[in-house]
Amino acid sequence: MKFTREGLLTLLIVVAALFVGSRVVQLIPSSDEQFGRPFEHHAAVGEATEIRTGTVKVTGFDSAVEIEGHGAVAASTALFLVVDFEWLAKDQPHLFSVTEIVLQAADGRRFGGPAPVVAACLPGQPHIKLACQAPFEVPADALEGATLRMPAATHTERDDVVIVDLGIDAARAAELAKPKDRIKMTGAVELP
Amino acid sequence: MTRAWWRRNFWWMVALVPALVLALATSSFRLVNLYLPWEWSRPTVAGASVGTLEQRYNAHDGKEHDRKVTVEVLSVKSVPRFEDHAAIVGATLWEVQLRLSASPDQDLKHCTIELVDAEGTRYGFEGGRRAADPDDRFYSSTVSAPYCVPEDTPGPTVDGFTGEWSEPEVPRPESWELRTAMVLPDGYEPVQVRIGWKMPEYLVLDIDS
Repeated sequence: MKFTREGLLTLLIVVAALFVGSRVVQLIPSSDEQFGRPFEHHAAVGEATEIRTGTVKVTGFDSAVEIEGHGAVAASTALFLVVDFEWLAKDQPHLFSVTEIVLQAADGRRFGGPAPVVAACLPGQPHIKLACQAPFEVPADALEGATLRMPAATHTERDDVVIVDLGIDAARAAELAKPKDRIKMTGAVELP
Repeated sequence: MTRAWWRRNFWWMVALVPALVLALATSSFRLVNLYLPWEWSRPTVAGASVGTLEQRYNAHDGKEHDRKVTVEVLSVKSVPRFEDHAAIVGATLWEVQLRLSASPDQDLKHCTIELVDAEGTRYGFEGGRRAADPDDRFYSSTVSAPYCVPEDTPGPTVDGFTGEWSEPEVPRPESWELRTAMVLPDGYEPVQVRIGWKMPEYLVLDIDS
């Protein structure tokens, strides 16, 4: 076998390319890590976040034993945390699916799904802001450190998801643990 | 690299180009086959206030059918009220009047109509409504999707569960007019009308000013 300068150069290039490629593969998250993981946007209460379908902003929250909406009343042996948020669709009509919003406790417990009274955030026309509400029936011990997960898409979290830190510390959690008697749900209110 | 290396590997380098193109094409499988067919992604841009939408689609009977509809924008104008609806404060109600022409043997119930402003923003038929009569205690701002065919002569339709066609006793006329209304925020005026029946094909018509 005869070593030439060209052969040696090719060998060095191949080794360097393998080294770089191996480093790149180590840096890129594996498909297992990425599969199903959403595009996360982190926000606080009062902070607007732009996602694929529009702009969402949590404006506040309160607690009550009962919630009332569309003539129906639902009562809880725990409490209802009612989150107020604003939704502004982008480029085309987009509703914001309230049933997709999840309240996640600090210990990982998740609360959400269809509400016992109608809570919808639609129709969601561009340039016409909606004030909406999302109720969650939760035990008082789930409030401190809770976050809200608000996905852009329906039936999947493989999309933009706004994760809102509700900023509930121990003192605020204690306040919320003494809920009002009832919150009257307003439904989606248009704010042009 | 020396000239000899390029000479030896020239055809491999040439072959690399279609290989990369094929790799890109195979990666686009989800976009082309799963995503785009479920979006309004295939426009027919008339470039005028009248145009024809042609579409081959799968109906609930499991068979392919052809659809051919000519649509003309008769008028799009701001109005203070439409039926019992008015626009909320800060928005304007726009009445849309279209003329549709199609052979009576096509299923044309329930189309999607949208208005498009100069920035390309699309507006649907829902939202931005309040009672035109403030004393109307039974008013509901909820509206149904446009029916798109004459109510008394809708033409044939296929049952979504059984796949069976029902033929009307009185055939639909060759041409009919359709009126609906949409709300746009103040400061935004519609410049185009979009109409479609089944994704992904739709028709884009200009609004004559």
